[in-house]
Amino acid sequence: MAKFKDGDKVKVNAAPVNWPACTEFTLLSATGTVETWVDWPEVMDPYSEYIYVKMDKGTKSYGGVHLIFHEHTLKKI
Amino acid sequence: MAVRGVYSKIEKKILADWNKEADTRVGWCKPRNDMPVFMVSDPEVTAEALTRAASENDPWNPFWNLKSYASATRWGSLIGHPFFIERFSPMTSMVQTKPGLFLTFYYIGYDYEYYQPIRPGDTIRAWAYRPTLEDSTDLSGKGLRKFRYVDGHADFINQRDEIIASYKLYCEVQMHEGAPPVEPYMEEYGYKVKELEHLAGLYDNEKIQGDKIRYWDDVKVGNDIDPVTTGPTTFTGYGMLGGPPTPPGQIPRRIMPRYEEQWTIPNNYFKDRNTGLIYRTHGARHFNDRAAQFEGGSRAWHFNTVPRLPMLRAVTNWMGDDAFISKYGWRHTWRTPIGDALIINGKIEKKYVEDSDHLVDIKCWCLDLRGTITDVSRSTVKLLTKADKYPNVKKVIKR
Repeated sequence: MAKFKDGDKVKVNAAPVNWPACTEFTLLSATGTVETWVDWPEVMDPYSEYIYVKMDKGTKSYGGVHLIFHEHTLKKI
Repeated sequence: MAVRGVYSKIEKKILADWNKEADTRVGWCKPRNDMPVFMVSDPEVTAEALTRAASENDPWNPFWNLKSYASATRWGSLIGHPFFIERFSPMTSMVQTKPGLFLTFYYIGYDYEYYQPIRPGDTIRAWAYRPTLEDSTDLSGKGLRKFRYVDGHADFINQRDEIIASYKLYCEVQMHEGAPPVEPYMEEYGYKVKELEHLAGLYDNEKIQGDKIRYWDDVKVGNDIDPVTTGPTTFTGYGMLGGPPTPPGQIPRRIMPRYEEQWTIPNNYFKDRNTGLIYRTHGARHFNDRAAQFEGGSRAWHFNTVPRLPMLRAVTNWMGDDAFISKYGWRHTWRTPIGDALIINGKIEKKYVEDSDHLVDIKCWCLDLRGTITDVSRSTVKLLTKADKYPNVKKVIKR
């Protein structure tokens, strides 16, 4: 069963898997809302662990931008 | 706001036109006319055609590029890089909109399946299925008109009437009443020295498994494959050069394309909606920030080959010369700004036996240093087992 659904408010809880040590992950604790990128189960279900999030307006550099995260790096709030 | 299955007069006309055009796209594929001549293959496959295509898809692995090297592998000759079949694929054609409805689309991705290698001497033809367009407008009636569009679907067939590969290309089409919303502008990504050092290290340390056989017996689920990288990208770098081709018909003509009011992604021109002034562009969404914004993007973004080629390369590097890509699925989930760098990571997800084939599934994801995942893929690779010695080779005595 999908961990998140459209409209869920989420917080970024961890960096993506294998995040490189050379770069600070600046989106930790950023918040946003889950959206369906493309509603096409036959095509997108195999990739359902990647979650499309519209970042909240206050997110530094990315307010209102859609970003994609691993499912397990997000937490429902 | 649109209701699924209920269409305005303009939409009915768009759909009627699309249906008429879709009927013409079924059957044996004729040579494409939307690519430069050098990118369209002769149906008779030669070693030169394979190496020329390989030099565009993965110029670094000798297995795809050197006849002498490939001849000394289990295959006994060059075989086609997995993306070689694209040269025979059917022409794509976006849904044609009408004034009043602005059309945008997501290029979602591909699914490929491969059944046998392509070798010099083969003759390849392709059968195109009718494209499909399915209304996927949100059932709430509060959203945009959306369609699930299979813009390309074909089987590739050799001279022995064997299907050697199949592919499907997916798009999502959106219709906007008026100008589309524009994603907020993202600043250009600026690098720190240690980031550039890290990327340079990934380039320096990219490994190709080559002739050391990767045995299925030794593969462990959960293990990572070695990362590869691409970028920081430029407008003319690797992958971007595979961008909007100049159709053969445009090269010699002394013409200037005429401006028409824009109701879809700009190609030749785009108009500044504030000033009404018109600007010339080529390649639009991939080469010009303001043209990208005209159709709702934040800024000019990567052509699909920028992530797609290295994402497959990460897998072909890992698998070695004796393996075979059986399936490759790729989804282009983010509009990555030009100038960004991508780091492709991969993990072994599954290991299994199917129809006597020893297979592993590998998932890959592209990390952008901004913090997002930009593209994702799934590959199925057939590997040899330690019990397979000289697979498919028979002793034939005719003395």
